[in-house]
Amino acid sequence: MIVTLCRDLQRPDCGLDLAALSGWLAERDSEIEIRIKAGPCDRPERWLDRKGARADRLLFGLCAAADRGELQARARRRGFDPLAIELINLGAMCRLAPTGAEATRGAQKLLGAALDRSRAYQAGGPENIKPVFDFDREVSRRSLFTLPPIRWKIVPSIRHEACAVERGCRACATTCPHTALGRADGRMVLDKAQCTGCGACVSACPVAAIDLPGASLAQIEAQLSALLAPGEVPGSRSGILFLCHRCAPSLDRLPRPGAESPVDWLPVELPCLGMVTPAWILQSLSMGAAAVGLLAGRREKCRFGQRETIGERVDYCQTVLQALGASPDALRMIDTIDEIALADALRRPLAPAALSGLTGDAGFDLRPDRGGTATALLGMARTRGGTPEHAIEHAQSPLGVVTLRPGCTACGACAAVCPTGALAREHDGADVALSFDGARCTACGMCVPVCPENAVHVDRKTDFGVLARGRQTLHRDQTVRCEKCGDVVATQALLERFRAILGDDPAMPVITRYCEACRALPL
Amino acid sequence: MRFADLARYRQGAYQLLGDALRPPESERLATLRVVAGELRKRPGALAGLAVFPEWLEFLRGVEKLTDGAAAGLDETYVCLFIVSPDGICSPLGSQYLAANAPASLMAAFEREYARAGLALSAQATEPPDHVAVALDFMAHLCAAEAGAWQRRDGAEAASELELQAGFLGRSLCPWLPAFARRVATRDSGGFYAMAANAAATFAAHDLEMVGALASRFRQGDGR
Repeated sequence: MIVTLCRDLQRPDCGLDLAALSGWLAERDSEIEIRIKAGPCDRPERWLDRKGARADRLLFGLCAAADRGELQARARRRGFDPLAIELINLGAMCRLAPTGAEATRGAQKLLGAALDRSRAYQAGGPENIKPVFDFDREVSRRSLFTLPPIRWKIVPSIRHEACAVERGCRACATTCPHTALGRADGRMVLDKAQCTGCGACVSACPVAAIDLPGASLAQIEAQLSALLAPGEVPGSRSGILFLCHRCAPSLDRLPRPGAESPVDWLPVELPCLGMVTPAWILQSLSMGAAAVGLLAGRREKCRFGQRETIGERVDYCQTVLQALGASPDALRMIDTIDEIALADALRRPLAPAALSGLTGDAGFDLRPDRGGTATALLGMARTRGGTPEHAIEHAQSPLGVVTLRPGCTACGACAAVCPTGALAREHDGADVALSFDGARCTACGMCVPVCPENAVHVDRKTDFGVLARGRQTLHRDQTVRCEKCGDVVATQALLERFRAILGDDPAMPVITRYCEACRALPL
Repeated sequence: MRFADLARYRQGAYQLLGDALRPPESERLATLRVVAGELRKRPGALAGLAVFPEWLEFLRGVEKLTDGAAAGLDETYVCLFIVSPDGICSPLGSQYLAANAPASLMAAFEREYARAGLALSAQATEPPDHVAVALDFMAHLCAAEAGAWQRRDGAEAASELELQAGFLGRSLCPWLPAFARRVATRDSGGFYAMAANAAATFAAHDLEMVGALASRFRQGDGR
């Protein structure tokens, strides 16, 4: 890997100590090559020299936001995988930090996190490429036979072997703001023509079956873990600032703040803020972020139309913070890119309650089926003095609670379709138990329509009590064994249900005494 | 960039890939090396394509073929594609798409060729579903498209793009990745693994681009 740093970052308006930064990088990873180059940051493609093109990964530390598309196009022409390039706008970091020393500290964090994000990158294939032709420009007669410039958009791909569509999961399709995902021939398929590559489906998939090279869950986990790793850079008051590529240049216009800035904001660039789920926000706070900001920019500039959803997610997280006795001010949605208003929003002092206590001990796990959000919530609750009793019902709650009405026969149909394993059916000696783990439930509701007894109910809510109790048995029943082979016939409740339906049917004794295989044999 | 230029470069790419997957006669290999070197130095319209990094890697691999290495390719070719046990690395599409009824698939390939006004010559040594024949056919379709653009016949060019998208989507891309994977297991790091992988990757990327272009022309936006 080659790390190229812009020499202009040493200028007084940035104030980075590049020698110290290079030394720190070399100590962190002896295998990387560090270069300090002079050159305009708006043309980083000039640094894609022959040697650089042979490296497996490139990382650019720039003094201003760069044209990512142009750099990627140039990289491709040089035979380099364009997504294996990380661009870090260290200049913006400098404008967010109060002093040169703090800017250098922040730059260390950003570079370290970018290295980890880069290492977590896995190349995609043709399925992740969407050609976009700029046919809409005005054309002359001569240019009618000229191919318009082609841009290559990165779109997600579905790993069908991991996808839960066969069990009825539609999480990605319902989340996609452009109706680009749908079921065809028993598979979830992506309509590339509709897809904008916003990545909303990536964070919505309960089984992490959707890959978006360059912004995969693994890369974002690696980046956030490094940014918030305790001890790597001491004296941290780090805040995570999520922003989309489109809004990133707005940070360049910020003037350097005074020393009173409450948080060292660390920008995390994404294709779209619609990727950021409550899980990301809550886990960031749990891992020690002093604050989380979402730079949503101006409504009319948003390409993906996700602002309402983002606003609702912020509202949910702020409700959770209040429930934990913390200030909701630790989470800020910033819907301006005007430099003065943006600077004011970022430098607004944090309420005292937001600055302490929200430090859990779990690592990042952004996959919805692994319970990372619940662990973060419980960790934060512990450090705030105990688990609150009440539950938060909210349309953006990433968690749900399953309850059973009378009539459950423990047939296991609900557990069979549950994509995250929140519902499970297990044999325990002569009994069969249906259990529920609230930490894994995403409230997808797939268990509701498959229940033949209409006994399953799901609430989209965050219930701290349910999370604290862990996996709980919802229903337990005895099993009846086959008189011939000893195999399980069914649960008592299920056989009662059969009796209620079939009454005096002559088949009943056979059904209730023998398993399916033995019923076919002569008695 | 002109449509005609892009079509010509794609024609050249398909020809090169097809030749790389034919028996390794010394004259053919020498030509391959020269052409690969020229294409690497002057990539032209191909340099703007998403597949270019992989394409460049393939060209470098062809150029690196030394005379000594080329001499050993005969045996590898025979082991992989001619006497391969159970046809595991078969270069024939029918082995992947219709192993139980290869004749029907070969007929389907011949129908695709007939749609473009072509028939397999009686002297042809390879069956119609052979990977090299199919890649040659793509080269022919690209040449026809380039000719149409040069004649400024947009409708004909759009129809050629439809033929290409149809052939890639129906007859080539569904089995090339499996072919490439199987060759990679038997010839790991070898020339044919590289060539098969390059063919599969190039065709998959090309299908994305040609499909998107054909769709735009179908909507009338590009005319």
